[in-house]
Amino acid sequence: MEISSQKMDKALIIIVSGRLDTTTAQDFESTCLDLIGNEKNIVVDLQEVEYVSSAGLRSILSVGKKVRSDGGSLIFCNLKGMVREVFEISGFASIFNIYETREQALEAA
Amino acid sequence: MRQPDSGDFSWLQLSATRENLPIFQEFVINEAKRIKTSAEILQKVELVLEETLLNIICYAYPHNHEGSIQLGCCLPGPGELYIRIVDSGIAFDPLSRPDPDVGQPMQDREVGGLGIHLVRRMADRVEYQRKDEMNILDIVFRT
Repeated sequence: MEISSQKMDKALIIIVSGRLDTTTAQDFESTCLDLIGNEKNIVVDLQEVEYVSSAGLRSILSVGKKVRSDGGSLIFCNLKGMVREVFEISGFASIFNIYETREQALEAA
Repeated sequence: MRQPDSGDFSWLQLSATRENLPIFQEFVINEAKRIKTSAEILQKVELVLEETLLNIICYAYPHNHEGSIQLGCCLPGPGELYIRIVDSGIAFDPLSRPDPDVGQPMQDREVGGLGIHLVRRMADRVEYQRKDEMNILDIVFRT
């Protein structure tokens, strides 16, 4: 798994690639929290994420709760294949705002 | 469908450790590829194995008691992948847990409990039995 970020006017974009599973979830969580710092508007681009398990979901939820409790918002874009399906089955598609493209996510941020 | 007996399976037995999780996954994926299982189903198989095997690795053998997992795989008929997971740890029926409430707002959601929910939804059939002091979990995918 790799994570990078890009600071835009409206939001911080976090770009994730690879797998969000039991071996990478903890790293995902701590790296995201480091990158987020005091930023309020966060867009997470999952275009290059091919696999997510419940361990990955737990980390996503932890980050989401932290951002929310700091008064910010965490939104997702570019969910593909099984990642989209896992988000839907687990109800994450309704607790987080999800957009088809990064542009749409940035407009909403 | 006829219930396959243990002679129909190819078996892999390894100790119940995190390090062995990818080896178990690869074993089943290689079997599944023999019947030209789609990439989409292979990802579901991988996910279901991560969720079910991690449960055993983390909870079946407490107090550092080292245990093992037997993983069986068979292809009983066209388009069917049958997985059997056997451990001799503490009795645990993963299917007895109620599904988490996936409609709750974020702040009320618990961090956890989603693994078995994903297993139920991703696999075509999941059955548990306790027999001879062993947990036996059968998982069927239609490929």
